[in-house]
Amino acid sequence: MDSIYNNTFLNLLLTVVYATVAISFGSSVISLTTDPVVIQTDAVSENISFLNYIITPDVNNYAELRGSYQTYMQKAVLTPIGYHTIIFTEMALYGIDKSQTFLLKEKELSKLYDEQFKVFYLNEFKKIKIYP
Amino acid sequence: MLYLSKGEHMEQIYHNTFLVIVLSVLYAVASLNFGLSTYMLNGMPIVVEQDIAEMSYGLIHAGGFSAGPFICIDSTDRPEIWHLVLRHEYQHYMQTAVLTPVGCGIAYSFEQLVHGYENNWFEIEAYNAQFDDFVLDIFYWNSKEVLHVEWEW
Repeated sequence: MDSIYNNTFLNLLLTVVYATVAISFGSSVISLTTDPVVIQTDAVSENISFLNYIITPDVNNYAELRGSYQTYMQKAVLTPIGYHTIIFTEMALYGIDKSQTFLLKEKELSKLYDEQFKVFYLNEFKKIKIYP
Repeated sequence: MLYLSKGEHMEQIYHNTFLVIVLSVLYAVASLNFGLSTYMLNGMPIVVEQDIAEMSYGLIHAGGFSAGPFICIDSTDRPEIWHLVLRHEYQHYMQTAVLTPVGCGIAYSFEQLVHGYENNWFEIEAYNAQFDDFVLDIFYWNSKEVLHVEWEW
């Protein structure tokens, strides 16, 4: 074990892998137990889901936000690494486009739902309900 | 079995309190496990000197033991074997860092079960390393300071 531990390259490699996995699982724990943190900004043109944040150009766009909320739940359950691995594997195995993968199709379908959900709206620093 | 419809797979799981608790606990353990390894691969061991028998209510009689980033050395042991125990436990520290605490725990227990303590691969490696000369920085918990330890036999 000394040879692995004291090998700079292997140590760095293990550190990056372990840190990424730790953040992935940690982010899932937060996502499983809390509502997503939504930030509205003009800096983005479409919704971005990152860890437990959803960055959106328009917090009143229900369909887009519901889609991002679906992604948030998927990443919470599968962990971010698991989520991306499943999408990548499906694309590689079936030779399909990313938008045709199971998780992305589920996201698109969720935009048609008409149920309210709660988010933490960081711009106003309060929890709000998003209505259809 | 979960009833799944309209592509609501994730909602079913995400809004199921029992499953969320189970997943949260599992994921928290996994996160802590890999997080500890990340620290141990780069950080110094935290060395605590304690009367191990007293601390463990008489359950553990050992010169030292290693648990995650902590190395505990028995304060009642002979001072001349302090460096030997530290080097032995530091080997376990490195094993845990590389394999992660859970991975190392499983592998160590398996070895213990199959080969017993004397022939446990992890112990053999630690015993072989304990007479090595070493240079090591440790965080010495008792005085809350970083110590630079250099030892030659």
